Amino acid sequence: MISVSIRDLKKTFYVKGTEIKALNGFTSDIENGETVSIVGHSGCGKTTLLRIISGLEKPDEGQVLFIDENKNYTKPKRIGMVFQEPRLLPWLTVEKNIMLALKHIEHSLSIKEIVNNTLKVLGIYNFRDAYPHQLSGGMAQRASLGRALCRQPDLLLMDEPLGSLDALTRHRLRHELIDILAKSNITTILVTHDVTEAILLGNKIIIVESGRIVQEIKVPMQHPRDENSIDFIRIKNTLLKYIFK
Amino acid sequence: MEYFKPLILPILILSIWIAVSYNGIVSEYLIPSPAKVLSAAVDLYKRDILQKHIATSMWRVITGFSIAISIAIPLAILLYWSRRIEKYLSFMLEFIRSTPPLALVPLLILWLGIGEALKITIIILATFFPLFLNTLSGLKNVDKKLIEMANTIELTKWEKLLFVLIPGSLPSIVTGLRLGFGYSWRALIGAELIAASAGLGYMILDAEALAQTDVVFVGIVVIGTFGYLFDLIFRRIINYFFFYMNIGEQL
Repeated sequence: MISVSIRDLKKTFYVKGTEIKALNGFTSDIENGETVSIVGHSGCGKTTLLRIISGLEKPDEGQVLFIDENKNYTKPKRIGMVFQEPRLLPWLTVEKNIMLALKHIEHSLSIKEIVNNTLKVLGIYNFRDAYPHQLSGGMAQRASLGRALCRQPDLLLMDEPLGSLDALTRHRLRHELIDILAKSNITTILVTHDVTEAILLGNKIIIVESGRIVQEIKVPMQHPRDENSIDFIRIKNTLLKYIFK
Repeated sequence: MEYFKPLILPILILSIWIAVSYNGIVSEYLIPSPAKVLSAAVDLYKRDILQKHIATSMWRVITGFSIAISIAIPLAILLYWSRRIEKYLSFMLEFIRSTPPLALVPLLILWLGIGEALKITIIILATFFPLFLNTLSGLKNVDKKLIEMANTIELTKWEKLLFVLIPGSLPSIVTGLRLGFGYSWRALIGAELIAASAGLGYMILDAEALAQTDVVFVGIVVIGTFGYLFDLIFRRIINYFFFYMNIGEQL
């Protein structure tokens, strides 16, 4: 497990001559095993932040440091990334899509066993031979989640993973995700625009606006969290106040 | 009914052909009757002449086409990986692309003689560009999101090529193969018309010199039929292997 130290990240994009500051001095520390939800309006820099942490994008300034359990700077062995869309390879079955993510991973179990276990946990074992176009949106996203989790990542990055799902599937998958994260204890960063989702999953919530942190809020509640509890509603109101101020 | 639609026009043309040739509207020398063409085909077949010419042409096409594939696809991959090499090669490639292979025939005869090397080189030149350009364009148009995903699961360059880039660009590569095959067939006949002692193009030219219009017709029908059959085989293979990508439907 690793913790993440994000230091003064800056990233500017230029679209048709217009300067867009996606990140403007973003600084935060994410503890070992912590699940952090990042919320904010569209275009506030949430996705850019994840892309920089995952290495898909380079920052203009600042750095992302990874720290191991002995407080030494390290490189994450593996980062698991779940995108808003499942991004499954259309020409491979669900099983083969997940197997591909295990190409360079050494494990005591065989690749087949890891994949089967993952598919069973996510409830899509019976669809292991299906092609992505034969899956519903929810199932495809489960497969995508499986692909990231079976790699046993040190760090899990999720970019609005439930954003494209219908309300019912979203509700079900959200609770399955809470179970999986609670059991795995992986350091997780979740980008979402759904305030309820942010509180249900996160130990800490970071509100971002114009590429900067507006507020960090701790969620001192045990899982499973009751959406109708006073604490939940209080945190939700605080979050909404900051987002819509 | 859908199955028969493509046959309506050929049947119509055949009917007109029969009507014109039997009524003596046009000279038998210019348009021989279908029966005469069929009889010429049977005669050529019985004397093993037709098979010999088909086999010669087919061997040239398959050899030239295979060589073109083995150059065009790896070169497209190389250029996709290295934009720098693309910059160096872009002018030369565009120059050669704009030159019709048959325009190079006089030079090629000088350099290669009139043997098999000439015909195969013409086929390679005709086939190379549709294959190369379609492969390169297919690779460039592979969904960037899938490439990003491949980066996040740390696939190597070769694994990305094998599992993401090649399958992702297959529709375009297959279009290149179909176009390339059509072009190779056309170029071959052109080459055989210029300098050959066997092959379907030669058979047509020889028949024209001997005023055997029926044999010319046999040659044209065989070329058209083979072109159609190969295209059909391509489409069947695509539909069989890539049904899940709906590539067959795209083609």
